[in-house]
Amino acid sequence: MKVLDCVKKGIFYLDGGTGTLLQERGLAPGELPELWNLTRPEEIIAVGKAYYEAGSHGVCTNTFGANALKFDGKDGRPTVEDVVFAAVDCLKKARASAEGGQENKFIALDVGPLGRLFAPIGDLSFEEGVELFAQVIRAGVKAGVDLVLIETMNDSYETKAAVLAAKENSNLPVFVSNVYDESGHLMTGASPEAMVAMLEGLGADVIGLNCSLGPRQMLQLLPRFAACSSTPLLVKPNAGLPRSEGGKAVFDVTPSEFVELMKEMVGQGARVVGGCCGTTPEYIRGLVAATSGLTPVEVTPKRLSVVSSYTHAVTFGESPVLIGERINPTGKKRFQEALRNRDIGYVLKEGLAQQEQGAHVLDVNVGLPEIDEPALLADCVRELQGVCNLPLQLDTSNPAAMERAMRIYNGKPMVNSVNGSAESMDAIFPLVKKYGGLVVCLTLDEQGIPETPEGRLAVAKKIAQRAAEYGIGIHDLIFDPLALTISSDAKAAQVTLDTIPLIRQELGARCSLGVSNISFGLPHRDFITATFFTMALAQGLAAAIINPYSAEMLKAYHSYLALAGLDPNCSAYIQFAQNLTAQTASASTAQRPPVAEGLQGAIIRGLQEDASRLAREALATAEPLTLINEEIVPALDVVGQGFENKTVFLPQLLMSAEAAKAAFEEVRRAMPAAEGSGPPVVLATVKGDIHDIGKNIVKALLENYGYRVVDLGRDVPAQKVVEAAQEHKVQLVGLSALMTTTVPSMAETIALLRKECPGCKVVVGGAVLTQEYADQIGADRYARNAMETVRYAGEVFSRKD
Amino acid sequence: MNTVELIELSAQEVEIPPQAVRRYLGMGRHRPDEALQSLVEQCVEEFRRIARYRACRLVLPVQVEGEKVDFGLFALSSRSLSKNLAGCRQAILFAATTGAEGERLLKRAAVTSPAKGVVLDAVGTAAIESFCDTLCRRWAEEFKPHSLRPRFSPGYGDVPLELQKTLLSCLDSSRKIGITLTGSLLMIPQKSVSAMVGIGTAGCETNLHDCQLCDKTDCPFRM
Repeated sequence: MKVLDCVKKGIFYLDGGTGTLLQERGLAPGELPELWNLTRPEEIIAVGKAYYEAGSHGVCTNTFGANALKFDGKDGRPTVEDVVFAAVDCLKKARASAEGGQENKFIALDVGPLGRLFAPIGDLSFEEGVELFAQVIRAGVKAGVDLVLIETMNDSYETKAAVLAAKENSNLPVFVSNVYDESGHLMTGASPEAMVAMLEGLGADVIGLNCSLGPRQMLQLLPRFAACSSTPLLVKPNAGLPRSEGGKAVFDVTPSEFVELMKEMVGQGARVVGGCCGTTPEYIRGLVAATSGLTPVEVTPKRLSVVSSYTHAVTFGESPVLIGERINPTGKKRFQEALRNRDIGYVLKEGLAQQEQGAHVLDVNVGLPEIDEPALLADCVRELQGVCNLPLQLDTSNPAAMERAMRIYNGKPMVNSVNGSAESMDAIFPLVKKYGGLVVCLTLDEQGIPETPEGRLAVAKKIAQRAAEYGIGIHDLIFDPLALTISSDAKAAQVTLDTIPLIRQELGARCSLGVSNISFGLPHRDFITATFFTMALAQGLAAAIINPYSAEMLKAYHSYLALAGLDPNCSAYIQFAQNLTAQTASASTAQRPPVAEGLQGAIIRGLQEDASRLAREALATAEPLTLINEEIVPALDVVGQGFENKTVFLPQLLMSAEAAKAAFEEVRRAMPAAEGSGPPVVLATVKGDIHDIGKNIVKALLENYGYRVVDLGRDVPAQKVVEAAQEHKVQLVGLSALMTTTVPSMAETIALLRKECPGCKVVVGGAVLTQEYADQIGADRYARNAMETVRYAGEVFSRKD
Repeated sequence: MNTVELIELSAQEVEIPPQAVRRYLGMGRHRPDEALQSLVEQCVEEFRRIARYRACRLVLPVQVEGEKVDFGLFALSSRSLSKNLAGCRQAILFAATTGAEGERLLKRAAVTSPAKGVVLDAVGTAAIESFCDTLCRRWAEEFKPHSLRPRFSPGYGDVPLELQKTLLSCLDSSRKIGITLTGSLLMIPQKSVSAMVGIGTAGCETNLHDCQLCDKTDCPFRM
């Protein structure tokens, strides 16, 4: 039989711990176990043979850490291929020598974590990660393994890279197993529901959990997997929890207890079973004896419409889902400017603010005619998922941008959108099949938008059929019945509202709607939009793309939940109402005693809200420019001097900077025509360094003084700095490094800048730098702190700041 | 055989002292004004909520001969470490972290507010240092009547940062508590510590934290 036939037919047994057995045979902490494939193959063969004889169908190769970060073929070290070949060879010998013939005995290519964290939290790029895994997979395929077991993964992003590598480089069955803690989270945060959503989207054949927990704890978590997974489940617990006895690890679950608990596990839906740390062939033998007569629980399709982020899943069809629409440049001058300047920070703030307002999913649209959309969308997605844990709805009409974003997305994304035209479906559905996703389907096609509910249903049916041909189920489609403005067609809203239940009844599918369009061209649009939203919810709308800053929309949403019985004890509504009352109250008592020294005082004391309010009030009578020159800049000077004289400290300097910025925003609003931005300055933390706090401080202050900062972030290669300097035609570049080890890459960046951008000045700073260092590496100026950088910028641009 | 042990402390067990936060903010003994004080309190509260204090340790025999320090699993030559461990027969190797969510919190703050970013960074430093001190105090109890030497990390004195690789792989830290290294040998999460602690003979007490032991007199954090 083949591997997946075995899984389909009954319980599939994996092996137990390997590390434990090798340690007993003399493996020391820190020693690379994979080397034993080459140096002590007889031990590896013996362990493999023991597991096959105990009844394991699949035994794992000793290749947990066999990646090119450790095995690079240099200085006498073996290559990945050397290690994998030797490991597979050991198991082939083990299988040939094991009692009971070779039938239904498989070799599982074991793929463990790389030991490096992915960007943006770590420094390994997603594609580097995929390639490192691909090398292992290709070697395994060449050596003749029967399946791939990706295991002990404690990060969802790394798991995705490994699964993609397996899928792109083999046709083998792919089993995927993650490490959860007792609360049911991976080390980097993902829940079982999030992992199942992502892994099913990627087409994993078996999904589960191993290591860290014993069978008792796993038994608690298993029902959560069983409730959402339509894929066979794998369970490989430790032999309980380890404790140290005289320097030796002792596990607290005996083979007989283990077997009893595993029997329960099979009753709860486990189908692929084995053991992890502390388990031995004895455990597996007992397990096989006790469970091989049992009929495993049938694997049933759950048909959930679900998306996920790196922490959690959001399911559609339970409570209505709010999708924040604000990351979108359409009609927003400030947003467009930010995108053109590659100001990803602006996008991130917009995302975090919507999360605070209660959005469940964020729509991400960065389409502007003159920009490289695939690159920018990928950058925004990567950075957003570094700071914000909401699932994302990738919104682009550019298939290349869609593919790149879906590939690097850490979870199962929402895909916005496909429509009934053949061109659209053939571009998007293959991507959904490969990467997974919940697809927003617009009910229009080459013929345009049908005018009747039946017409829109017909398009929906066509889309569903085409999706099915690609192997995409109806639960992975969510239909948009299209809201058109009622100011041009009085019946428009009714047609949309009637389409929702029709699609639900006829296709068993859910609907999502961009509701804002409905009120286009009318005054007080919020009133119409919010009422329409309520009406659509009553028709069974599962999700809506909305503006989460709109109080009317949130009122409609919370009231609906309470009225529809989706808010037990109306507790969410009451909390919402209380917050609202508090906000209104504080707005009406905004006549708090003013800060004694006015706007200047507010900035000096770092009071952001006061600064913003006082600026707004002052603008009623004062000229914007007067306010800048007579209030804001003098205040900044006072604080800056205080900092240089050591009477004001760094956090206070920054609080003042933020207060000044808030005042600036008000001024900016009052003079929309103003160019608003001074000369550009490029800032970066150099390659190899991930500390960006100093660079962020400099950025905040430079912005205060009116410079347009192009912030390249941290760990930035020299070439990228040069490119940005050229693109923005800057006269000043600021580089930061915290570690002595990264000063050489600062030197390299300066050398490249000298060559490629001869007129450009370079100012450097950071904890390890000194005047001598700065001179040595050829910087134009060493700035001891952020204020010195501001002063130097003033010199370079001959401005009197 | 040597086993790596896992340790987890709750947020209640790790104090984040405000004076330490002020120190890492470069304020020495200056008192913050009201606005800053409330920002510091807010940051301490937020960090406490998401921090996960986890550590793993390995107790190893150690032999010090001249400048050579031999832990059995690995050996190195270092003037400063041999001085630190002189007279010890055993040492604790450990790695400790405040967890991945703390890292994301810092990243989020850097986006939304640089002032909060700076304060949270100081809070994170105070938290991990306090966590390590708490661990060392407990271990000092555990190994009585022996006394513990001040903890010593790769990068101190003449011990190269390169030692991180060896130390963390012996501790299996990426798998056990989620500390990984970047290509330039920095730990992620950033608010993590790896170190060696000598278990000295009885009677040679050393203060765990004593700025007077250090010869860098111009250090801005010197107390």
